[in-house]
Amino acid sequence: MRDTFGQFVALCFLILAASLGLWYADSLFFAPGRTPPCREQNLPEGRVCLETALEQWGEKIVWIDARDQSSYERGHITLAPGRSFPLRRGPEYEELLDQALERMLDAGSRGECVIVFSGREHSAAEEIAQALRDLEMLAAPVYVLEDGWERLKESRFLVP
Amino acid sequence: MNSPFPRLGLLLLSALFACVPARAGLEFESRMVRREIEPRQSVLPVAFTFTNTGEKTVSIERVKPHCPCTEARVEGGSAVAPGRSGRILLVVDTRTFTGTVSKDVSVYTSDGVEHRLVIRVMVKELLAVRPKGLVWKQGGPAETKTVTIVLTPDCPFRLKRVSLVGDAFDYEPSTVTPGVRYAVAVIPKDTGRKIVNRLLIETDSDDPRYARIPVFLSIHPAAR
Repeated sequence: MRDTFGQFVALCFLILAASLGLWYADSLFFAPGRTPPCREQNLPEGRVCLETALEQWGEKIVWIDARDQSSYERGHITLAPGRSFPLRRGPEYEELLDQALERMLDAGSRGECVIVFSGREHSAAEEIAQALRDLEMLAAPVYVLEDGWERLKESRFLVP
Repeated sequence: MNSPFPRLGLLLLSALFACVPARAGLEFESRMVRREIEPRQSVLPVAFTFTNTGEKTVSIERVKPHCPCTEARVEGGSAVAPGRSGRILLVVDTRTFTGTVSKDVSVYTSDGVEHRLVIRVMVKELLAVRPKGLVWKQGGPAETKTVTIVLTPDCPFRLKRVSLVGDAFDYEPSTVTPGVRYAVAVIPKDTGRKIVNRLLIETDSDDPRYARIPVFLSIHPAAR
């Protein structure tokens, strides 16, 4: 009995030591680069978590990439034509919107939504999303993706 | 013989309770603050109030604005005792803002939570163009729709030109009140095909926010 208890205590200490070691390594090397979990209840109006968006809308999403050109060229989501469009402020804004507008108008009649994303700072995505809402042309709801491109990359759902 | 399992079970149960963390956390009065500002306002101060509703002291480890236009500091000390309140004070440089702009700030606390705060700034317009988009139903009536342009009394620039990018529409600008209110009547030549054109409203402003404002025109089957 004493031996069993002694072994149990020794195992507990070993597990505790291993857990502490893993926690320390994780916080030092992996956690800083990790995007924290998205909490829907903490989000401001007009934002959506990726998990919620995929659950509610699935493939019925038109994705709008509001990142700058160099970020877009380094990597972007690859989907069937007409599922995603770049749209960013600057000299190309009007022409890019020309290309995306018809598809976003279609989204309303197809029961789809429009989700705009940029980086974790959300500024660009918020600006583009507001500009789309200000058009007062779209029947489809317009959201900003919480944590933007970083969340999409981590999920690997749309980014190869 | 006495079984060791009841004692082991008690030990495991105690260990489980020991692992349950004490509840602790900062609660913010509001995670989004909305402010309306004048077009030439250059600085906007904003405060987010929080309270520690938990049972342990929580420290604010870092406040990270996601825009170089925002400066942040903590009022009331970074260590927040249970039941105590404090404020995150932000100063936003709004000189380049136009329309509605959102800026995020992340607050990292010692309990491992990242609190995301949002400032939504609405800049009053010197030049208001409404609507910014017009849609006609494909195959529907080619009816005239109007874009209204209103300049505020202290607007430093003037309307210069209205032009069309594309050829699917006719348009006619008119003056309602000189220097203040203008209208542009737009009518599609033919609603038979899907198309997107742009009306361009140009002013003599050097500020790129006001120099050129597009209005998108579309003929589309899904138009309401």
